Formats: sequence, C-alpha cells, structure tokens
Amino acid sequence: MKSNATLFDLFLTGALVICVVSLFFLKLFFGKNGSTILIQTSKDKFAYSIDQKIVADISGDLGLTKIEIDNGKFRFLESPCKNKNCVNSGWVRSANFPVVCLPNRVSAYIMKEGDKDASLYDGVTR
Amino acid sequence: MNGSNNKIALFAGLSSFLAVFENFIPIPVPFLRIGISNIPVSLGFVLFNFKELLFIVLFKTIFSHLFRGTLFSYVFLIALSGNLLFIFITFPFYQIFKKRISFISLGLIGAISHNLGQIFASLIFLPAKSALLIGYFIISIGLIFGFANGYICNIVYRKFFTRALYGQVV
Repeated sequence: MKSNATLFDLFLTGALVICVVSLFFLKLFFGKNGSTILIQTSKDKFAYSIDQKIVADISGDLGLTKIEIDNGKFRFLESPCKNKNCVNSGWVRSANFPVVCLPNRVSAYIMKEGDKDASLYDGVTR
Repeated sequence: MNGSNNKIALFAGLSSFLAVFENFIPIPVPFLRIGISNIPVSLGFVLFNFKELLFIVLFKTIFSHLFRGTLFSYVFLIALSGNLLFIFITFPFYQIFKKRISFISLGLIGAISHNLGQIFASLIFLPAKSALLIGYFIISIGLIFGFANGYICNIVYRKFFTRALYGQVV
C-alpha cells in the first residue's frame, strides 16, 4: 500500500467524478419526468395531465387551494392556510416530489412514468 | 492470525468510538455520516485478514447501534448491509490493487460500496422508494467524504504505520 496518492488514485477519482457529473447531466437533459399529477385531499383524489396549462381549484378542509399546472411543472398558487409553506415551495418539475399543505389537507405530486399508484385505489383484493 | 488480538480489539474499539462520536458532529442533512469510523477499518486493511476485518466491522456496527438505541430496527439492517457490502467489495479490491493504490482509492471504493449497500437495503426494507430519490445525492457526497477519509488515512499511515511496519518512512 502506498502512502501517497498514486496515478491509479487520480485515475479512479477522475473516472468517478466524470461518472457522477455525466449522470447528473443525463438526468437533467434526458431524464423522463412523469406525465400525471396526482392531487389528494382528505376526501378526494384527482389526476391531471401535467402537459397542459390550467389552474385547478381544489377544495380542502379550510377552503379552496389553487394549483397551477404549466406544461411539466406545478405549484401551489393560492392556499387558505396560515403559513403558506405550500405556496412558498414554488415550482416542482421532479417526479415523486410531493408538496403538502397540512392545514388544508391537500397534497400534490408528479407520478413517475410507469409507476402504478396504489393510492388511487381504496383497496385491492386478489 | 496476522494481527494480534490486542490490535484487533484496539481497532474495533477505536472504530466503534468514532462511529458513536460522529453522531455528535452536526451535519446539515440528518441521514448523512462523515464516515470517520471507517478510518480505522481502512487502516486495518494493511494489518488484518478478511475474518479479522469482518469482526471489526460487525463489532463497530452492533456497538454503535446498541449505543444509539437502534439495534433492533430497520436502521440497523440498512447500516449492516452497507458495512457488509463495503467489506465484501473493498477487501478483494485491496487484494488485487494493493501495490498500485493508496488509501484514497480504498476510501472511494469503500464509500461507493457502503452507500450502494445502504440504498439496496432501503429498497428492500422500506416500503417507500425514497432511497432512489436521494441515492444520487448520497453517492455524490459519499465520494467527497470517501476521498477525504482516504487522504486522512494516507497521512496517518505515512506518519505512524510505515515506520512501525517497515522501519522507515516510505
């Protein structure tokens, strides 16, 4: 075992750094996001296509939450909650990254392509 | 046995102490560990055989989780998986490349194998697949900490080990 950095160390470090950076850019530019946004309240569940430009009015426990969907991304536009943490979360483009408004009991996330969302069903019997 | 029992006990104890101690080091992200407990384990590669290293790693994992109070939880299973994959990948790597590498390579391979083991175990034991979301982040940060730990190991090895093992500074 050498006690100083060797050429092999530098090569391995460089290769791993290149792998990590490449993966980052591959995911950034070619990573597939989801096509459906799932919105849940304490009473209902809604599914919207993410590839459209609409503002969805969702009725929660406190009042109306407005969720803006804009071609691949969404954000909580307005909410009757006190702290507005959900509104301050801003735009979400990544799949499986939920935004939750606890006081109004409204949550939303982009479902990843190919994922089966078990939460859409009350129960499954086989 | 390559190493005496006293040496194994010293390295197992030191590693366990550092595993508990690193919980007190504040890190902005709660699930991250610097991995300083792996410094004695990495240094042990030059002193011990596979069985002895496996004992040190198992002792460290069990002791640190006993101290944290998470011995009978999925956290222990995840940590154990990471440590086992670490030893099963890093030891053959060391045996093959030991004449060409320093501890930096060992730290990098150790960090990757450790993190991969934890991610695989999380996918098995946790119902949510959240490990995949943070997996890339964990491996990236793990590489930085692995490099840093390897660099520290190099310094410790140069200052204390080479003189003791070979009678000179290499």
